[in-house]
Amino acid sequence: VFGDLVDLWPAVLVHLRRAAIPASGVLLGLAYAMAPTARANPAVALIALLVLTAALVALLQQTLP
Amino acid sequence: VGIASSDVHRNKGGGTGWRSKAIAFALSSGIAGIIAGATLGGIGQLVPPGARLTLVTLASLFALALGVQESLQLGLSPVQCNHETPQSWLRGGALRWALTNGAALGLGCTSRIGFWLWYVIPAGCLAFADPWAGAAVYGTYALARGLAPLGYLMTARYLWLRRLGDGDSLSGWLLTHRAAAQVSSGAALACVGAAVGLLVGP
Repeated sequence: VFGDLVDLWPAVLVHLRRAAIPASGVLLGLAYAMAPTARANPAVALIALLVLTAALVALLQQTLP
Repeated sequence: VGIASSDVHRNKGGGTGWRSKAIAFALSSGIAGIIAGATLGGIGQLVPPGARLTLVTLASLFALALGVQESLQLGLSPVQCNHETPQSWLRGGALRWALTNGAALGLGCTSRIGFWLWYVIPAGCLAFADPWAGAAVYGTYALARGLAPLGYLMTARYLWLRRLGDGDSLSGWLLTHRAAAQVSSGAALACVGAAVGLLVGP
């Protein structure tokens, strides 16, 4: 079973990367939808949003030539 | 993707050699980002809180407008050093190249940026005015960017072993989805601008 998992992992990575752009969009949408709730603790909400955005930029920059 | 064009790439089948360089690349990138974020967070402390709040509110409106124009692909390109990693860096050897290129890509601003969304990172570090928060944000960006080639090489190695065609390569797929990335980036920037405006605005 472990050998199968090791063989499958790179293929799983491909699918994860393919799903990354829409998934990141959904996550950012959720962050936006939760913004009014986050008013209770804006500092934590802001840093979470910035961290998420930072990861998204790094991912999107993989499409640069 | 850049790491794949170096001689790091050539010894991909020769044990763990390429992995150690890819890890050096990721670590160098991450450390450069952490230092840059902490520095920007420290510089942000020099700006009075009231002025910082006003600037962040204005920046969020600017981000919203830029995000809309980018997602509609109206053609306003980001301000950037529009060039790739100097090829002369390769002369120093694979490890040195991995360290210097990792640091350069971790900083981001010395090469092609590609998306207006990138500016959220340094602006966010400055606006937060906290070295720890800055290090967390910029460090996340740099580490994610630094680790991407490792994932790419692992995936590409698998694809080549399976003898799939060029059209199936991850690199080709990424390049052909540049327009989708531009739209996603613009939408994300507009969302970030709106969210920040809601959180810190009047």
